[in-house]
Formats: sequence, C-alpha cells, structure tokens
Amino acid sequence: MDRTTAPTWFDKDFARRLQRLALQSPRVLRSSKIGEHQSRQKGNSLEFVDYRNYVSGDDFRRIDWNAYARLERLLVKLTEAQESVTLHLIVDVSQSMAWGEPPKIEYAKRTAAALGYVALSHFDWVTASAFSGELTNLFPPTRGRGQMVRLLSFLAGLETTGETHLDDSLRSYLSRLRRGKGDVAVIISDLFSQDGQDGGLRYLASAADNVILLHVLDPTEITPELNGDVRLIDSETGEPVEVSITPDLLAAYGREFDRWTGGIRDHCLRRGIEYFQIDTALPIESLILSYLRRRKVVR
Amino acid sequence: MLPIGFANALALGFLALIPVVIALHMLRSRRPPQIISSTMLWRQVNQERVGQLALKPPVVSLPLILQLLAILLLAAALAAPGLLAQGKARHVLILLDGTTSMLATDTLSGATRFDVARSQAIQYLRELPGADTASNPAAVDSSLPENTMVDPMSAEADACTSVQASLCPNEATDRGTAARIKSTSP
Repeated sequence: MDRTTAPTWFDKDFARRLQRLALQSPRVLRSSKIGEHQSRQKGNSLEFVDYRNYVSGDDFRRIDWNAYARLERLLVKLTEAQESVTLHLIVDVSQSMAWGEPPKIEYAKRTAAALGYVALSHFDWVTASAFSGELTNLFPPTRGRGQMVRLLSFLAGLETTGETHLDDSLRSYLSRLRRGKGDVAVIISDLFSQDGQDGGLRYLASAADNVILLHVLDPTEITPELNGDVRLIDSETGEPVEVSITPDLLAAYGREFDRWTGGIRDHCLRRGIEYFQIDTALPIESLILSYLRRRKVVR
Repeated sequence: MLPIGFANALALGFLALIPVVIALHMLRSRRPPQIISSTMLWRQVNQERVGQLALKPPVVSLPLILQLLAILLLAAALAAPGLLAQGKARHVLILLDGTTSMLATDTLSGATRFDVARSQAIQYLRELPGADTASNPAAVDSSLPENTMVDPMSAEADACTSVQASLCPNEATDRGTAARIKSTSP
C-alpha cells in the first residue's frame, strides 16, 4: 500500500511531538536501574545504524557532537547492539471492540499507531498482530521510520470479528515469534474474554521483558447509561441477559466492575505487567503525550 | 365524629382492581433489545439477583400511583359516601291537637292556633336530617281515627307535610286517642 492510501490519524504537530518521544522500559525504571539496558550491551557490536533526535534522559556520551557542529541539532548515534528492542503491538479485534463511541477498535488502532511511530522513529523493531478467537493478522518485525506507512496500512485494515480468547491467542503468538531481551509487548484490549486472560498474560510476562496492558473501555462500560427493563445482547456471543435497571442494580454493576478490574490489576502486579485502564473519552494525544508519559511508558 | 355510610356500597367492588394494577406492574414488560459489547459483567450481577424471574418487586412509579389513585376516586365517587347521624336514626312523631279550640285566633299573626302549629310542624319536618324518619302527621281527632296514622314509617318529609297540610281541627280533645297513636308508633 502506498503513502496515499495510508490513514491520516495524526496531524503534523502530533507526529512531530511523537518523534521527540522514546519508548521507556517501565521495569528498568521501577527498579531504579536507569541506563542498565545500555551498559549491559557494552562490549557487544557497536555497529552504527542511524541517528535519531536527542530526547531527555539520553546518555550525553552518545550525542554526535560533529553532527551538532554541522546541523546545530542534538543527534544520538544508534547502534545495532544498543537499540535492538522490539515493540510487540498486540491488538484485540474481537467483535466487542467495535462497540463504543468512538469504537474501541479505532482507539486501539490509533494508540498502536502512535506507539509504533514512536518506536520506528527511534529505529526500534516493531511488529504488530491482531487477535480475537485466534491470532488473525501478523505484521512482521520491521524497523525504520520509512516503515510507518506500512504499519499504518496494516492497522487500518484490521476489522473486528469473533469472540475474544486471549489465552489461546497469546500462546499462539508467542509460539510464532522469536523473542529477545528488552522486548516490549503492548496489548490493547477490552479484556472481555470468554475464558479469562490470566493464563495468556502469564505466558507473555514470562516471554517479554516488559509487558504493558492497555485496558481500553468505553465510558458507558464503566458507568452504564441504561434505563428501565432492557434485554442486553452480547455483541460477541449474541447471548441475551434481561435486566431491570434500578439504582441498586447499577451499584451492583459498579461493584462487579471494580472486582473484575481489581482482579486483573492484582494479577498484573504479581506478574510484573504494567496495567493501565484507558477511558476512550481521553484523547489519543493526551493518552500518549501526557498519560503514558507520566507513567513512564514513553519518555 | 360522624361515621361514613355509602349509598351504593357495591361500587366499592371496584377496589378489587387495585391488586390487579399492582400485579400488572409486577409483570416484566417486553424488553427492548440493546446490543452491548459484552454481557459478562451483567451475567455476574444478575446471578446475585432476581433478574430472571417472571415477577419483580413493584417499583413505585408515577404511573402506578396515578392508576391506584384513579381507582380509589372512581370507587369512592360511585359509592356515594355520606355522613351518618350519630348512632341510630331518630324517629319523630308529630301530634297536632285537632280540637275546635285550636281554631282560636289569639295568635300574634291572627291565624288560628292550628295553622300556627301546623306551620311550625312543617318547618320542623323540613329541617329533619336525611337519615331521620317521621310518621305522617296526625291530628288528634277521635272522630277520624283512620286519619291519624297514615304510613307511619315514611321518611319523606314532603309527603308528611302534604298530609299535614290537609289536616284540620275537629271536635274536642281526646287524650286517649293521642295516647293510642303514641303507643302504635315504632
């Protein structure tokens, strides 16, 4: 797919601001070992690959001062050994993701595209995949900013279908991919999985250095806007549930929702997975530039 | 405080509609379908509740209140409630002296004593409460004993006054007749 058919999800200003960001390793930060990743790679191959813009937190020693003298821009040298981090973007495309305003799948695609753009801008490897009942699409590992259009086209082509089976999908995903140290896996899902998500997340946590779970929810899934007697139809299974909405029932739903998300959060905490509950009312720009930045997902 | 009586107590049978209306409100209405992303959480919530039962506790709503109020007002209006007199209704017996001495005109208005007495009796009858009864008026007249007691339990004041208006004094006082009339009244 060429550039003309790629979606225009970002304006120039947002794209420019994304270029100034870099993926952060939450686990490294949590253990107060900033810079460990780079020092661990010393002595390995330091083959020059590319330049990228200097961002806050980069090692001063990696700034190319000759380039600064010529271009008056702070550029950092990238080497194969130092920056061989792979970003795994794993997007839930089950039918439930088509629901919401905006649809959660659109929000997930744009979030994945923004994170992918950050990674590609810094010469990280990026791979993307989609799952519902099973792994449905796979974007092979690639790197370089020039691959952005391909990534956007891949994400734009994703369509919602089927039920969510997170466990089976993640096991299948891990069996297909070669994994490396410092890999970052980002799962974007509403987690309405028929068979739970604990097993799949456990596998993924054991396979990737850093696992980030973005739990995307529409505001009406957090606080339902329902009235009277209604017959609720599950968008994935078609299964009906008849309810009579009363303040007591809404309060009971709120408690069940807290119990559900609390259980996921606890599970993630035990497995070292970064868990973020994202309300789709939050603009993508605020999510990336503010929310995830404050939480050290990007820097 | 006066007790309440109903002229048409059968109309209170309409109150039987109240449980029918409440039962209709307890029936689950036909629910409009609404597609949501997942019913996973709602299923959990419903398991702890009575969501799947055919009946539900009635929700106090404006339509329910208005419907119950309408039934109450309809039944009350048709039953025609009214205040009853205290205890048992009184029975009034009016005796007029029908002797010729009542023809004397020594009253302030110049009318005969009998006319004055008759007017006062008529006035009294008109002011009787609805629940009270009055025997037709009687003129104590030994020569016309058949006129002395006509329809003794009539409650119609107008009928009494019309009969009374036709009475006129006759012979001498007959206290025995008066006592006889008194003893036959209920």
